[in-house]
Amino acid sequence: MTLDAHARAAFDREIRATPQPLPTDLEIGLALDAISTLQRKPQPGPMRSGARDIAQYLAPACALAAACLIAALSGRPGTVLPRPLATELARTLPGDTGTRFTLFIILAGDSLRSAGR
Amino acid sequence: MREPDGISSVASTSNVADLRAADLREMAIAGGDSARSAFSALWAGYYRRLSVFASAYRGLAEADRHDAIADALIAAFGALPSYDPRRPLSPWVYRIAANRFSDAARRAARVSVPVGADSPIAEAMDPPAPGDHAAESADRDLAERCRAAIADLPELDRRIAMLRFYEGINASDIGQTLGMPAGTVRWRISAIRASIRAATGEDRP
Repeated sequence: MTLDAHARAAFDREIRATPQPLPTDLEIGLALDAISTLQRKPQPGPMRSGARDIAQYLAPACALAAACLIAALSGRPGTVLPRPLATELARTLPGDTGTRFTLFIILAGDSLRSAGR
Repeated sequence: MREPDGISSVASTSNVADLRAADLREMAIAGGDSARSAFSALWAGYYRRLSVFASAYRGLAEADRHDAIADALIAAFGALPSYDPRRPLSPWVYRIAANRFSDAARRAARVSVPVGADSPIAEAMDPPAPGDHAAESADRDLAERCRAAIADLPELDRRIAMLRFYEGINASDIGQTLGMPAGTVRWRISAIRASIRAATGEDRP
């Protein structure tokens, strides 16, 4: 084997030794819904700008809330997507509102789980 | 293994060996069950590879690695409709991941454990099996020294080494992925080869 081939084999071995958590069907469905929501552009309409701004943030906020609730209420070790998804969605919220909301929900979830509920 | 489409280069670690990047994009756009399959395929094809790539971001603590990888895969899937299927998929996915990992590492602002003797690449080494032929033993010994040399590389060189030696991505695309000139990447690849060669005593390129 050449040096390059040995280097490739070294990475290949490391990759094979790496565990791969798999998202559940529910999580994948949630992720796709959220991605679709994020990709939806606000439509021009008769609403005044203030109302349009609120509507623009409402859909991602609802998706964010759904993702966070699943992350908070599910203590299953197989839960692999909601937290990153919530982080992604939180970016769509103005200022640091999303980040603060995500942190609050995650802490609440940890607290619930540690209480055995 | 087929390189250009990326997905298929992990035939051994996923069940999507025959899925082409163009198909993946079409499935993502189609929505419904096709999109679910595309997401699963992207996840299965890239999770482990990005995990190893993420380990070369030392500011990214191991505890935060999964979230950063999932974040990158969600972002990549969301951007699939804008992906040009005439281009190889892997450099595109790694570019998204590199940006996400850099952001996450900056946010974490922590110093992770240096990649060294305790790194997964070192742990993944198998001890030589007794009874091997002399040539196989020499090869195995060389492989171990090669792994140790890669594990000891500076983090940026380790990223370059993975993209070049494992993914087979060219210097220009590596440069775009990591935000550096292609000439610098070529120079670093030469230096990485020299470094591995010095550590292993192997002369062949």
